Amino acid sequence: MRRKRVLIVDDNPDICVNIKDILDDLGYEADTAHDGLAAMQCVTDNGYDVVILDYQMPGMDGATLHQKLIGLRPGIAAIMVTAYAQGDGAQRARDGGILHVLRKPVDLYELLPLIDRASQSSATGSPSVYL
Amino acid sequence: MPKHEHQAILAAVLQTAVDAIIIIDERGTIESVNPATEQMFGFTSDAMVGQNVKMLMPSPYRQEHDGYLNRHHETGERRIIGIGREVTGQRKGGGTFPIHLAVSEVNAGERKLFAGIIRDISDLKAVESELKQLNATLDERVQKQAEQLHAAQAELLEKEKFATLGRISGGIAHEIRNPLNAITTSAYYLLNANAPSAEKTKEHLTRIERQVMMIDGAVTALSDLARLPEPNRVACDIAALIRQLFCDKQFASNIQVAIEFGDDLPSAFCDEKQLHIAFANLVRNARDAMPNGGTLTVSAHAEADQIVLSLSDTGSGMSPETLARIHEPFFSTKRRGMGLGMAITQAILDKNHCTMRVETELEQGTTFFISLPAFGTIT
Repeated sequence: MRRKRVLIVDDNPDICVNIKDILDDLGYEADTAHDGLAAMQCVTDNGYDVVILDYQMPGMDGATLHQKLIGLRPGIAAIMVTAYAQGDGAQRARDGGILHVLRKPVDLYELLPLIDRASQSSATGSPSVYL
Repeated sequence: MPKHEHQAILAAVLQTAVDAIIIIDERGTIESVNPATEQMFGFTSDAMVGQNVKMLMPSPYRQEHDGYLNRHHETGERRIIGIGREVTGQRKGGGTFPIHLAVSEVNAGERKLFAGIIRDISDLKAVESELKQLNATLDERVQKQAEQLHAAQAELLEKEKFATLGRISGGIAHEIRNPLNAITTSAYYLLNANAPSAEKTKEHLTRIERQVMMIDGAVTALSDLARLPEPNRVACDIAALIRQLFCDKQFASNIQVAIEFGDDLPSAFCDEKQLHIAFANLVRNARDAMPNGGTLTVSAHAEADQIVLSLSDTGSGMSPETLARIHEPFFSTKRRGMGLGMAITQAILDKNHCTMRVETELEQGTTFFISLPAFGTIT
């Protein structure tokens, strides 16, 4: 069976690498991107099942990026992990179809099952609805 | 003009005049009235002629009119004759109305007559009264509007304060929760990974240490900003300070630095160490605004009891939205920046009695003008 692919987008490289290490250890194939443009390039180049998005990033916020990513790959499931979603940021993310917005520091015991379920539902072609 | 023709014209004028014209004798008896009088007062000419003119006046003029006439006969005193004034008339039905009355004295042979020309000023008075009323409430309305404006301003200020507080607390959240997130994910990895290599374990422990330092850095920067020490203000050679700053700092080869100071620049009266921090922040920002290279020009000149230092870059410039927020703690447009540099710079300049002005244009560059008190002047 194909390993599930996860893209982690966060402007803090340590956070990206940490989650990648955890997911790699669990058998996922994880990549990282530090801003919106890099994330879009990754999604264009590789199909991902799940994307984990930060909200506050230079250049493009996570909610805006999510809209661009589902434009590139409509079936991609998204989870947002944010320290502080400015103003209506979290609401915009939810309105855009991200059903789970988790707060940093993230509870891995909550995040990992969500990634698991998201990658499963992504495989069945009905992504974020189960999130 | 022949006399009869002249008289005919005068009679026509009397007949067609818009104003009421009443001729009375010395006792006040009406001798003649024109058609406008009938129209104005509602009496027929027959009902008026032969009656005392008092009939056209309300109390108390009605009772006092004989007295006026007698006084005029005895003393020649003129209260209305040749002057004209605003009085009140009374119509047939008893209704009163404001009139302007002008009386002239006519000597007709042995007899003395008076001609009263009366204009109904009801409309004028109504407008006047309306205007008066408006004037009376004008102050009140202006006051009310001013109060509304003040209330709106206060509300706006309060909203702005909360919005700023929200942004600052968001900044703090961002600066602290991100390292916490790195720490917690590293801790999870170390606790749960199936077979972490020694190298991976070390990597994560190092990362935890680094992120702890980042949190400490954020908290320290913030408390430094809040408790900036009182400046130790002394005579301070700005030119030397700037030159030293550029000696310490290395720039990319595509950035040219031009320092243009006159020889006779007076010393500034400031805390040298604090100014160094402030200028270093501005220079760093200027450098960061020119990722593709450019020119950074620093110049200074004396102006009255001030030294005006300008620091100009040919970089990206700032939008009005960015410019409005540059002093806000945790506001940053940089990829990796805590957003405290300009807040600290502004705090230092304030403490050292310096002022800062910014001119900026997108894609053209930014110039900061700093006015520093010259040494020897009272500030």
